[in-house]
Amino acid sequence: MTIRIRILALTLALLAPAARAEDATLFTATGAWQGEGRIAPSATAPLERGRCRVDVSQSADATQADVIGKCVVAGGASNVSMRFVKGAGTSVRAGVWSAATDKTVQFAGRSDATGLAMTSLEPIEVDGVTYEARVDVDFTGNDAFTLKQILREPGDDGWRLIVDMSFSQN
Amino acid sequence: MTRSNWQARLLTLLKTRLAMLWLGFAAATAVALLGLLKLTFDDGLIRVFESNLPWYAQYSEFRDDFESDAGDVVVLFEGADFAQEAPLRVVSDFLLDAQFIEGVGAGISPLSLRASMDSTTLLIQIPPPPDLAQRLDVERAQSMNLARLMSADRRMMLAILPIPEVAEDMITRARTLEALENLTRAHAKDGVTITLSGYPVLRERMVAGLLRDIVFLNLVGTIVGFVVATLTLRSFTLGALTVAAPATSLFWVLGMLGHLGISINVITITLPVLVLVLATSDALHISIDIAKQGRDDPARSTLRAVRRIAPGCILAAITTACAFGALTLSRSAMISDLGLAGALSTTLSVLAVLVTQTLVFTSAGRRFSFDRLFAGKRGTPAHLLSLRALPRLSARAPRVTIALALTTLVATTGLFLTAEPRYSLYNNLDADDPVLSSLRRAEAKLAPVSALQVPFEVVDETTIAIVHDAVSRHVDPSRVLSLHSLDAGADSLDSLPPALTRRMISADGDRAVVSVLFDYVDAAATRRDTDALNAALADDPALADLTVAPTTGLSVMSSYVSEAVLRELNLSFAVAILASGLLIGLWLRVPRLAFLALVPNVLPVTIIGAGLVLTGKGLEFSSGLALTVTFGLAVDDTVHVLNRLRLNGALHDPTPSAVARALHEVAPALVVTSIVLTFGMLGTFLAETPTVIDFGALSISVFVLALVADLMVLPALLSVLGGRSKPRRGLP
Repeated sequence: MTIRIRILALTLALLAPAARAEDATLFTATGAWQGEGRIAPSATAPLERGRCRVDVSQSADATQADVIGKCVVAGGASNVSMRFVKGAGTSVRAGVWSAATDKTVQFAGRSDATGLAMTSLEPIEVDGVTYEARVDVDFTGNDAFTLKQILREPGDDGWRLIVDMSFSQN
Repeated sequence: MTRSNWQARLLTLLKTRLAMLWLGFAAATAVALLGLLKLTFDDGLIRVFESNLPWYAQYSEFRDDFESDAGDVVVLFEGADFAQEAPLRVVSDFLLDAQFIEGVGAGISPLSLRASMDSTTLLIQIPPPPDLAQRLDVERAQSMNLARLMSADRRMMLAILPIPEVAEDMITRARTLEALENLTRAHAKDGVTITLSGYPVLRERMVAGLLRDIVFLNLVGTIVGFVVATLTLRSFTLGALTVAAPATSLFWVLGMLGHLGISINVITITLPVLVLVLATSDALHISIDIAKQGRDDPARSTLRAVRRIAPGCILAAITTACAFGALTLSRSAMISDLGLAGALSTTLSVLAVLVTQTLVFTSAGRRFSFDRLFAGKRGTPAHLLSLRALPRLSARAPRVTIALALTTLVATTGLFLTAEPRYSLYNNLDADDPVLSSLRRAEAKLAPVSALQVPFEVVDETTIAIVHDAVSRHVDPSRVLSLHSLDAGADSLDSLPPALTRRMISADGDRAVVSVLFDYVDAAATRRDTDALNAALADDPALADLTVAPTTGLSVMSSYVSEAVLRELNLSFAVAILASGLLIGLWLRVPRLAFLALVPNVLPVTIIGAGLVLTGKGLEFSSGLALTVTFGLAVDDTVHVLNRLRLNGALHDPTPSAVARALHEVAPALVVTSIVLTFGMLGTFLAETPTVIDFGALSISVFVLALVADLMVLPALLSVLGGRSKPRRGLP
């Protein structure tokens, strides 16, 4: 029996660092963020209303960010724990663990002043099917941003939108 | 060491080392305080059924394999058409925010049912599509799942928030439910009201009620004890000095319960107040006797009074402890715990009274002198309290009194033995409790919330269909739920909320369950429904090759276990009678008197028991326990009468005049202690927990009847049947 909203866990991994991805803010953001939008509870399910809440903390040298949070839809929730490491220049790497999958997935990407783009470094397996994932973040203000996550099976042309959410700081 | 040497040493200690004795007292009280801090509260809703009975074992196995409704918070949304955007948004907001609360990890509601059906039909988006009302009506007509969660007029919606991981942890559960309550207040708008119910909420309300009740009951008991002691002893100071002993008893006993890890629950809630009133009664006996001693030497007078009254108090405590001890025979772990706790508490209580009275009155005598404390009639109860009319009435016709008493005893015992066990899961809540009311409203407009569970071993998907169909043949098919009724088979499991799937199939996939929703009335009705279903399934040839377990579930288990445990209380009562008789016999070494002493104490219990049968109330946990425990307390007064006979040297020849003298001396104390017991328990009438109210009412009834029996039946029995010589008519 599979567990739904695994995708949520993976999505959540990308939320908090994205919130402060511009220049030096990626690894200086702290505190609580709340997201409101739509989430697909599984890779094949339609989008439905959802919310996310995350808390961000930083290492003393501002090269590492830890995020703990939760995303919910009407029928369920998922907790995640993750760590982001600052690379050379604008590069960012991430290791994500979720209780739902009990697996760690690696992501990598780049950030600039307007947003962030990351791609999974390895196939993500959900319900026996492997996917590749992309995340796009657009900053819409000092304390707000939007996040979209898309997913597709390798070789497919079309991407499926699985997360469409607007975040603001509490 | 001889007895006189021992007493001399104790007297010397009292005179020369009083401060050291107070230090020891303070140390014991400090230990009690540490225990008090460990005291816990438990609703006992399930624990009262923990036993080695087969129904409990079946239920435990079921709980291990499946997620049950015992950890479900039921949320009822009412008041608006939930096909409209504003009310629907209220529901959605609430469900989303609720899942951020500790312990809440899922939600089952119409908004999460999409997965079990055609996703294009029941995907409730916000804002809702224009045809949502029509789609919901169509879906509701076709799907029992939606019909259980939304009313036909779409103005009632039900959601389930499982909190199984925190449901058993009282502190976390309280925090979770408080956060949910806050959320209901924050989100109730746009014509929507939100009410929480379900077992965790019911249990939390019961615990909150217990907490308030224990404070209230013992506060009332202490105040009543003080007022009665003050009026009886005709002195505010003596009243205050006397009430120190029961207060200490209560404190030590609560500390002991904390150290032993025995929680306060719907069963043990009355124990502290019983200890309090019993200790007040003992303390008054001693205070009254101190007044009769010399006033030159407070330590000697106090010690003498304690020494005179202590045997009666100790024996009374032991007989009460026996009544409690008899409850340890119960196969219910919680009732057995009450028996142990009660036996230990009454023993510790009498020790606390003897120690405290000795220290308090010795110290008070030093400070104020007994001449001043007991000046005039202070310390001497009014003769009005002797209720002389009752023994006089009995003395006019002792044989008639005995004949009436024995006839009543036989008749009421016969009736009492026919008392049928009565139990309902909702016994501990008021009928108009808001949580219970919301459950009733949900049952009326949606579907029953209780279920008979039929677990079975799964061979393949067809097995589930066979069992589902078999069960449907014997009950209303529209009330049968299983994976089969989801109409999509195992393929749909992946898309169902885990909280829902674990209710239908075990985590290892080896067992599945068919649920039959039913209207829970009480234990007897549930047993009838269950027996009928079990019999029908046993005879169903379609199930011949399958392994189908007996029907279970919380309602079912509690119905059968409550019956067995309540019937066992009669055995406990019988053992309490025998043990009390044996103890009195050993103490007095006059078996005949021991036998006679039981009559005025069994009689009140059988009269009340017969009353329960005649009024159709039957035997409930509160009444079964009250009758057994109050029997032990009622014996105390009889013991004090016999102790007075012993002190007067009339035990072996209780002539009418000797009996009259003993009663004359001890009756005021008996009346006073009965007043303390009765008024001390009056606080139960204002308790939040209905079973506590019942317990109090029955206890008071037994205390009053026992006093009347002690003043009328006991003297008649002692006069006519107690002595070597023939009874003489008339008491001086």
